[in-house]
Amino acid sequence: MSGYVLRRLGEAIPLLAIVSLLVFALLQASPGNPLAQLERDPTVSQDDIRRIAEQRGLLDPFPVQYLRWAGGAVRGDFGESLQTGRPVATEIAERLPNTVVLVLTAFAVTLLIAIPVGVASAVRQYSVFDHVVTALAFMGQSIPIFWFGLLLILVFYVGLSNPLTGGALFPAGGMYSSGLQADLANRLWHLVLPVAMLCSTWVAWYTRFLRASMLEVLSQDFVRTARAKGASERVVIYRHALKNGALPLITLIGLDLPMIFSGALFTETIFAWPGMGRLFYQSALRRDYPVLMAIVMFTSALILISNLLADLAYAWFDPRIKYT
Amino acid sequence: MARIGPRLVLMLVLLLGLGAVLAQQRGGTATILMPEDLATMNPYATTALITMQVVPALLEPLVGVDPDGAYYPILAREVPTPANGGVADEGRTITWRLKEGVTWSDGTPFTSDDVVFTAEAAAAGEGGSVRAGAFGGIASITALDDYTVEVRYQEYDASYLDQFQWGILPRHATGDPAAMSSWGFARAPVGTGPFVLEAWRTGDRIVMARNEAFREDGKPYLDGLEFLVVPSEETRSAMMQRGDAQVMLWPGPQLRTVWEETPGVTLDSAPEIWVLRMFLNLGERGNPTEGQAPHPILGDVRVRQALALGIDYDLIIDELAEGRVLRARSPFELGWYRCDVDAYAYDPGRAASLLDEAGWAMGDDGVRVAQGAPYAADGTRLALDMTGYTDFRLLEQTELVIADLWGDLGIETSVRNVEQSVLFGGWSDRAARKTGEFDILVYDTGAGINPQLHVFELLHSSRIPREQNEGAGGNYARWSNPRVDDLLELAGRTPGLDERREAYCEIAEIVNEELPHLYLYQFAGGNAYAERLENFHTSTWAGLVWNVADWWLATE
Amino acid sequence: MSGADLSSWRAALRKFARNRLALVGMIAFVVIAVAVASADLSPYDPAATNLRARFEGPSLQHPFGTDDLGRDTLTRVLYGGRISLLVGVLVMALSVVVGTVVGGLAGYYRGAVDSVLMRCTDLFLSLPSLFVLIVLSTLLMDTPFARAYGGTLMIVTIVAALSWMVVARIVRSSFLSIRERDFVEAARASGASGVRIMAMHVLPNALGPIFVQATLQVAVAIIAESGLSYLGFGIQPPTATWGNMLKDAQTYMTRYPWLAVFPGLMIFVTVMSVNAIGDGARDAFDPRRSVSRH
Repeated sequence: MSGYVLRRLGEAIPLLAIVSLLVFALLQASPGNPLAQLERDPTVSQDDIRRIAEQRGLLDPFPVQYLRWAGGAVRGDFGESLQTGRPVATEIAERLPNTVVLVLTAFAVTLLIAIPVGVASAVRQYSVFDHVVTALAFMGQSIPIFWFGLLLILVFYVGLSNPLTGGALFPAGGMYSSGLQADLANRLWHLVLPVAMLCSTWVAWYTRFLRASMLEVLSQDFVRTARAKGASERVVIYRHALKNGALPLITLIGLDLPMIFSGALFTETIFAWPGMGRLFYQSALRRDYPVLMAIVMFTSALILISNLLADLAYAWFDPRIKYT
Repeated sequence: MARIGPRLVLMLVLLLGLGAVLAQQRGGTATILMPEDLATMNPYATTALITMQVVPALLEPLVGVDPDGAYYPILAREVPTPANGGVADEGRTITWRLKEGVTWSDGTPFTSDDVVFTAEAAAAGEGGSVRAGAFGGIASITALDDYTVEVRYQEYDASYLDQFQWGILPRHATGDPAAMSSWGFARAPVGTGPFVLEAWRTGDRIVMARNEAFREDGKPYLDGLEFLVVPSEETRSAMMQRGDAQVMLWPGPQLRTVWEETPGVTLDSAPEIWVLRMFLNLGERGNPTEGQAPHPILGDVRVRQALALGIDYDLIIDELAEGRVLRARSPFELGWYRCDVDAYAYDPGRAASLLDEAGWAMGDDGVRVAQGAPYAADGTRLALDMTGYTDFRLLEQTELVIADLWGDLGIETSVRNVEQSVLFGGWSDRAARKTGEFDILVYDTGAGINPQLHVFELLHSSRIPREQNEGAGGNYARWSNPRVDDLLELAGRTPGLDERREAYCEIAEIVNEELPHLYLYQFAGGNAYAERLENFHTSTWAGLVWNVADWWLATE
Repeated sequence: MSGADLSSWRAALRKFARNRLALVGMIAFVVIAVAVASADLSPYDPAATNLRARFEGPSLQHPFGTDDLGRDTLTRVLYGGRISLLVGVLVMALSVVVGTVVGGLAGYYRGAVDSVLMRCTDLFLSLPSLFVLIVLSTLLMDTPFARAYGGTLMIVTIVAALSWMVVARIVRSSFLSIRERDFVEAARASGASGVRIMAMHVLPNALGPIFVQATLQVAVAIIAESGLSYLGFGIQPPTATWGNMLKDAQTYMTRYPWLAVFPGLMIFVTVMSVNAIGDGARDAFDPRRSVSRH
């Protein structure tokens, strides 16, 4: 098994290298001036702009620029942001925790809802409950996430009011209210709407997935055997069926976890959440190449690691699978 | 002794009461909503507009400009003028006398050495200063004593009062002038301003607290300021409506009715320096060389005039921008240099006949074709492309409405917007602006209280971006007029404001006739604020926080 | 196709027809498609501005109201639908074709071919799709390629470039199992060429899962295009698409909500109907197979 892991990790490295070259080339070829801000101001001379471009290595030929970046990257130095001059690692490190909080909370909520609801829906197949769940899940899969976020603000911030205080029912943005940085309750309150938005499609997908998976498992022989042996329905469902039904979910989570980082981009923009997705979006608009490269490489690495972890988890759950 | 009548007593009581009510209340924090975060707090390291909306609460300049356009002293004791000896030697020697007893927020005394340091650091281009060009004309700067600075220019520089407009930097809290890009100051500035930086959470908020060492006793009235970064405009306006914030920076014109419907929130608008204009390419597309041919369509002034006559300005200003912009007719619309130019009015009839005269006959499909036009081969369609930048709804709407109006005249316009980073590209990016690969550009730009640099860049023939000068210059219209060149040079070396204004107004007339630029409107958007934030005023000439020391929050 | 295949197709079709949700989805999709195809019938020009008729609410004259430039929203929604549906279908076609070729070759020939093709697939799979879409969009946005057909060609290409991989994987695993079947052995024994065998014998039997995934690709593509346009990296105004109409409407959402409701609703309903068809297809072909949506 450890040989398998090492091999996978070993394969990941050239893969990441190719990704970095590909993305770097795409960014270099893109039109758009990272120093456009300076061009906008007619009192800044062209000489100044050229000098600054030179200082930041923007006028060097492509191979030179790439090798400089790559050389730094392997040592953990991803350069400086063209916008702020600060190390890229700092820019990302400041925002990554915010995205992680958002994403992990959303994931936790998703599983907390999807698993019980999906299982219950499968067990009570064709009941009213099942139909309602299926319909809702169906809608959740199809709704555009950014539209949903705007609707959430419209309803829960603009529309409804807190019956006790008369203020907003939920805040429209930010991670915490002024002065309440350390207040957990306040932070949770601020998390509600963004998490609801981020979860919306995921809950729908996972509920349906789990339902389908459970249905398949529940019809299998070993379940009937367990029932015949007199095990309670509860044990049958949760111990025997769920373990098998949840298995494909592991792979799905492994594939999805990095995806949710990009999905968080919409959430972070609409809810003023200072996270990595929003950093990417702003950096893309301003052609802040070092930041863009670092974020893409980070997410790529995340994808590869998540896939590996998902495969390993799959093997752990299902002893029939062996990796060499 | 006259009896003190009850009426007098009543008046006294009322006066006292009024005084108590009007007295500014200390305390409270004002929350300000901004669309994006600052990149750095060092105003010499960036030209991002948002910087000067926030940093002047911390860093102060020597003089400021009030909403009426008049200079007033801030860290200087008085505004240097020829009368008080501050301006001598035909404007080439400026003597700044500084206020005494002012300290930086950390207690260190503010002296003339800091001013000298500021000039040193700003001029050190290799260190990362983006303002080196503005300090390039200084021949020498010396501290005559602790509170007097003498600045000598190589030649008369019309913007001498604005020299230090971005603020004075403290020598002791920054670092090596040649290493500006590595200063910790960028994230933790120390200034003389009414507030000090308490915390800056990147991408989230900037928190400021009262500077207890501020030079004006009793001010600022507010305990603190909080600048929140909220990218979504809808969220910002929702927060204002809910009273969760007191100031919203630069609300879009479409929100005007929102403020009208919200009690306690008002819009404070003032004309802005930003003027939306079209740059018409008078030269051959994509051939940025000396002696290029004229543009086949736009090279003919009659066509350009027809374009100007074909725009229904009132429709755009009243209906589209909902009266939130003002008609602009020249680059000189504000302040002391305001010129009155005979603006073009919407006259599609005359526009059509001008086009006929210019040799563009109406074609079968409603688009004109050349028939004896001076620069275009017969059969060429009157098709133009219009390029602006994305993510600015009003700009896009303006372009589309104009394209529609021109369509009635037989002009086929295709509107294509690109990202700002693409539109404002440099020569090395082969940006369309620089290489002339465009027909019409539409975007906003503007000058400050001192328009000389700005209009010189835009209108002088030496500033046409060419292969030969590696694309330097802002004369994107590729317009060359010797009289205007002379007038620009004259305005640049004349200290007298009246003479300069005369020169500018003549330039405005010529521009209006030859139309290298087509002026549309001037923004007057302003800022939205909660009425209980007293003394909040939007100034045309300064950023959001120009008078933040005077703001106070009335209790609800 | 052998006789066995034909009857399994018929069985699948029958099963599909009995699925009410799928039928409703099919009908809805057809209705939408017909509506957008007949956008020309509208008396309004989607680009004609009319500032005196701005922000009118839904009425008989303007069933979906008018927008900030006085343009009829229904007309723009229909024209926008053309683009959204076209993008959806073209992305599906392109990604399915590319995915089938890559997956098919990998699954049939195995060995070195499989290795190389799967490494390629893995490479693309390790790219964070939204981020790379944004980068590709900035790369191509200002080129003549992007301006062709109002930007549709560019969007289709970049979205397809990042969504063919899942099809490849499905096709590969299908081909891997089908190639072991008897009739394929027989065809090989009779000396038929690889390509012929793949096209005539293996592929027809793999069509089930491909079809299911194809319908999901349409939904994914429509959401991808609208998401990109919402961010400003998709098809640029003034060309109307549901995504950029939603972006423009956002500014006026509190006061003129119908501007955001209708385009959003269209995306919603279209995607739902496509998903319904996909669901029905999945149940029809193989109720036990779980299909990935990536």
